[in-house]
Amino acid sequence: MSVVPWGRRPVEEVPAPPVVLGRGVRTARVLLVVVGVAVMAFGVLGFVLDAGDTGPVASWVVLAAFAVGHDALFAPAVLVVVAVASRLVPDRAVPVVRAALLVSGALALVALPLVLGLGDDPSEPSALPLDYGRNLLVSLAVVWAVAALALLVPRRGRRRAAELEGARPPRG
Amino acid sequence: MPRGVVSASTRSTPTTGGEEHESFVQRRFTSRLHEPRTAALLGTWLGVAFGTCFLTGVASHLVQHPTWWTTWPTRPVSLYAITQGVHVATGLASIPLLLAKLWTVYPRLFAWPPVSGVLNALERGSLLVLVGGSVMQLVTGLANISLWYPWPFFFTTTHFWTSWLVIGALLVHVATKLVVARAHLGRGRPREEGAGPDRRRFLTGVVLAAGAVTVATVGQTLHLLRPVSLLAPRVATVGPQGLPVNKSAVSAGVEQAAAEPGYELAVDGAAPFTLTRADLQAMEQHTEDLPIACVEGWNALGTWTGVRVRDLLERAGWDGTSDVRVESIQTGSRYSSSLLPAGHARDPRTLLALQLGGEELALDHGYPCRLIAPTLPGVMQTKWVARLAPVTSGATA
Repeated sequence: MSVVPWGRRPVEEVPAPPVVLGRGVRTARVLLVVVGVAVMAFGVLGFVLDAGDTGPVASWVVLAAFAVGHDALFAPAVLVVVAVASRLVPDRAVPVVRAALLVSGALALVALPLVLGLGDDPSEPSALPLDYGRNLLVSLAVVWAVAALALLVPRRGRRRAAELEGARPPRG
Repeated sequence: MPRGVVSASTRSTPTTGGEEHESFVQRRFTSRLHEPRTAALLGTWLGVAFGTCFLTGVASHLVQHPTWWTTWPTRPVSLYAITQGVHVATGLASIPLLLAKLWTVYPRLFAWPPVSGVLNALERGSLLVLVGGSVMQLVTGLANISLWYPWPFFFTTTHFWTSWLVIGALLVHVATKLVVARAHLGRGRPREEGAGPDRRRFLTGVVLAAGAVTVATVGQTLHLLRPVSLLAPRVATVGPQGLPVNKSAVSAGVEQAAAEPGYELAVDGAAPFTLTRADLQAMEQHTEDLPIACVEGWNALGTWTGVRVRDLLERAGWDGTSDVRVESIQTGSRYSSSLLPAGHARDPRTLLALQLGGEELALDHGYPCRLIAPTLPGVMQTKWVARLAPVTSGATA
């Protein structure tokens, strides 16, 4: 059984002919690597020169932690949530539910620091002025109402198509 | 760098080093969307988004840290509101794009053997920088517009230098994926059996998510969308005198000093002088509609009344070509003074404002007077101004 949220069957392996790299592609690639490494080196230099602000080692630990945090915690959690949700709804509803989960998840992530009030400062009431908890709920309600509509509307269309199919005289 | 020939098979796309096999873990990912075309499409979109963020971000950096070879125009007056609004909106829309891209290529994390050669090790190392740096930019950027700073580093400087790491790693990544991306984006790409509808659904979901995030937040920049931007961190009309405040007088520690009746403004130059607030009010007053545009992407239009900065400077014998340091009553903050470029100081629309919307300037907006200039970010529109000091030519900070 797959634990992967999108698509169901594995794709067929399609053999493709080997690609012979032209001189232009090879040149472009070398150039991109040279410029890319130079740009990264400039960034490292900046971290070191502004060490008072950046604390280079601490910053790089945080950077690595974000990569590990995504790969080891966030991504598996998303896979599990989407897989569980996909089993709980009828097959027909799976694509719409997944899209609604994707939109809801993005909205929730963006709203999270606002909803939790992590940056609130009582002396600055005009910063972050809205009721973000309520507004997130309203946004999610809209998303799932649209998802419900999307599930109801095409079904009628499909049923009509099926009826037309049935009304057509058999061929051959 | 691989030699002349690489495989462009749809599934497995080793680009550097030796043989790579599908690992046990990789075979568990059975979605047909863990494939190069989906990755290449999302990668292209993300590349455009990150490029936009990088350019607008560097522009914002150069406004705040001018060099001898850069100038920032004074028109259109909302220039910074536009570039920074685009920066923040693009960054927010990148959140679902990046997560979708990482999901698509996630099985490749489990490639076996983990490292298949020196070049492959370097490529995977650059991917660590690219993935960690990209997530870090979006998370810290989001935290910044939510005024949340739980990091051991100063946000602005670190966000700036991390962007160079990310863009550099992105260029290296494009180099390693150039061939496979071209093979799967071009017309002559291999035909896949039936992945199209799944891919269209997935990419539609991603676009909807990016669109929803944009609609939910962009009202802080595009006020027309304010009614539907339920998650906007700022509302242009909410605040003292109908304008948001980022740094209050209390939080800046100036609520006593700024209200002092003995306040005097000092103007340095060949013929330096000081003025009381009554002296400032007695000078020729000008009214300008100018936006406050913040690094956090929001902007709000105000009607400011006050004295032209150039009138004050010329009275002190300013040559019209040197930049001007604008110092605040506020001390001990990196924003307690700003450098007003000569071009902005000459601009007739640049004011020391005494009034906002026809009322006495509120303490939180910079009473007794504040700088307001076209096209400059909010952090450079110094509040509670105590001194205008032209700097000797060529000096920048």
